[in-house]
Amino acid sequence: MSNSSAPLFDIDQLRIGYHGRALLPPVSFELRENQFWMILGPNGAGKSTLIRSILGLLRPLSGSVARREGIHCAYIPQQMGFDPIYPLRVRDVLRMGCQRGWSSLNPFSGPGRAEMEEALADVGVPGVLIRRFFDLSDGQKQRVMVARALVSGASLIVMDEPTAAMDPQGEEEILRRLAKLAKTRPLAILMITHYADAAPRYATHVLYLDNHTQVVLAGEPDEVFSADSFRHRYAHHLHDECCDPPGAGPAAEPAATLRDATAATPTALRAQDGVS
Amino acid sequence: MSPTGNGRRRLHITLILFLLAAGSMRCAWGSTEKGSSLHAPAPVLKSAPKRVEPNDDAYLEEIEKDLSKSKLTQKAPPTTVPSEAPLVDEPKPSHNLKSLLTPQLPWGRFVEGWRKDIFRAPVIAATLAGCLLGLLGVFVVLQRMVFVSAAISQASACGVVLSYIAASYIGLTWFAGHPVFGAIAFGLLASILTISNPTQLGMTREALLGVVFLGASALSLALADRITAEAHDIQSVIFGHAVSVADGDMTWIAGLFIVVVAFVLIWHRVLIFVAFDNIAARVQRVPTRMLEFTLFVSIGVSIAVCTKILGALPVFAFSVLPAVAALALSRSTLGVLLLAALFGAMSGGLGYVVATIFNYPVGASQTVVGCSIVAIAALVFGIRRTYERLLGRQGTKATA
Repeated sequence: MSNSSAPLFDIDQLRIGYHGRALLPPVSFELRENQFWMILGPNGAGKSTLIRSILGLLRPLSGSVARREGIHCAYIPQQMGFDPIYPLRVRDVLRMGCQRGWSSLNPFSGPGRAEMEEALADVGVPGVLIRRFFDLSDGQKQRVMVARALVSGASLIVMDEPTAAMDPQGEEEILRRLAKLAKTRPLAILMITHYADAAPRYATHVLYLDNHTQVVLAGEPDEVFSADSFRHRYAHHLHDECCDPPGAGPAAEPAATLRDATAATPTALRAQDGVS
Repeated sequence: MSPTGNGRRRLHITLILFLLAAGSMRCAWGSTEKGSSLHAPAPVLKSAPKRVEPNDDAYLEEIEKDLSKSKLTQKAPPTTVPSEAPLVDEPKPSHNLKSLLTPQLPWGRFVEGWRKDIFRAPVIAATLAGCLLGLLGVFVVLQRMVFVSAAISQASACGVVLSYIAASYIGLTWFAGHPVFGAIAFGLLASILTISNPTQLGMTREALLGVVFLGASALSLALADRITAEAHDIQSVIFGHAVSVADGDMTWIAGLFIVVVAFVLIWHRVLIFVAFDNIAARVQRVPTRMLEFTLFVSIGVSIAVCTKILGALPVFAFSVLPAVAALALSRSTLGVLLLAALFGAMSGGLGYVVATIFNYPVGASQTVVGCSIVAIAALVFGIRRTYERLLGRQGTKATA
């Protein structure tokens, strides 16, 4: 019987890489319900490799990934990965969420219409059930993908740069809804993003990876943001944010948050600095 | 980077042009080959006359006589070639443009032939093959690997030729007795090659497809010259103008049709999921490898068997054109599958009827019917899109 207080995933001393060569120092962290993790880092830092290893798509070099018994995962790829040639309606995409394991071979299994409508309403795109998926805007498509994950009953939703092709407003909207879902539903979200500004406002935890400097930082956003290795990497970014005039549009709030974060003292930070 | 709508259109246009060019080349090439003295004049019909009693009514004989005059029946072209160019232009036979569209076999006689079982088997076989490959073609086109079917069909044709070679030169009668096994073996080999990772050999997948296609074509043509006994069968397989179907072939195509159509229709949702979002399907622990393997084996075996029966060109056409037309017209997955099956069946059956009545090569006629369906579908798609855009503009104005 599963214990709801136990972590959904316990990643312990996980070493990831290819052909026996580790990309990063060992990574350790726990994923629990109602947590919203953002994975930050430069290109090629090993972010996608890490989530592939956690999801069991790639064999880790060493370490362990303990998954709570009976939980399901859902994966949402980048928008650019979808081929618009597919003749899919929104309901077809949502039905994919319920295709799990060998039960996917049962052609009569699938969510009910009411369940699908409810999931769409939860992510803010009601009434699009029979619309063509590729007629939707990027933001709406991404929300439909989140609804697919909700319909699937997943305990962990893993997203690979879900807001990469979206405008800032759409990005803010989807992050706000994800943060709300993570708070209100019994699930956790693990998301790769380059949008570091949003982390202090929406994420409950941040995982920072950098294979160039061999740094792995995991913890709450203010803890990670105050670490020297993170500040060194994002120094220009933090400087730009600090120099924005107060109240100058949507960037004003993150700037203030980042300033606060840089002043915080790193405590209880689970970091493994391999080199520094 | 995902392909855009423009990219998709360009791909489809390139493909259709390729098919038309391939069809015309094959017809021209086939005519040249037929003119070679190495090839004996082909029989009129391979299997259909077997079902007719020798002393049947005179009318049927008349139909057969009509068919024997047809180009369809692979009659031998003039074998004498002038050694020197004539000094004075000889009078050329008059080519009447109207004759291209004049039925060579009256409809009533075709119907009569159908009743007498002459045309029934090939039309049914072509219809089933078109329907089967049209359905599977949806997955071929959706995964943007249309030239995989060209390579597999060509490899299957090569397998048929090699099975005859094995019979003639090595004496493997069981292999020659079932050239369909040769087609399946080489079709599956090509399928495995095309889904493997060729980067370890320093090649892209497109390059590997080209190598398989060219290698199989060249080997088939080279070896076909060494077989005289089954010259007609081999020509039909390579150039795609088979006009008749053996009883055993009907069993193969009917069996495959039932199994593969049931597989695709029952599991189309999960097959589409695996093709559309493979990583998500793997994360949700869907048996992706088993499903992909089964689908590829179905595609490989279906293309191989249909190539042995109908020839390479129509098989390539059936596995691409119906799906392209269906994707332009339907917006739902099941709708695309059913339309593709319907268009495939139309291309196969109607193509054969058109070829018979208007005296054209069968494979080329079936391909032209498929291309016509694509052209109509593209026209409807364009009209519908323009109409929707106009409606959208009107809606915007009304809102403003």
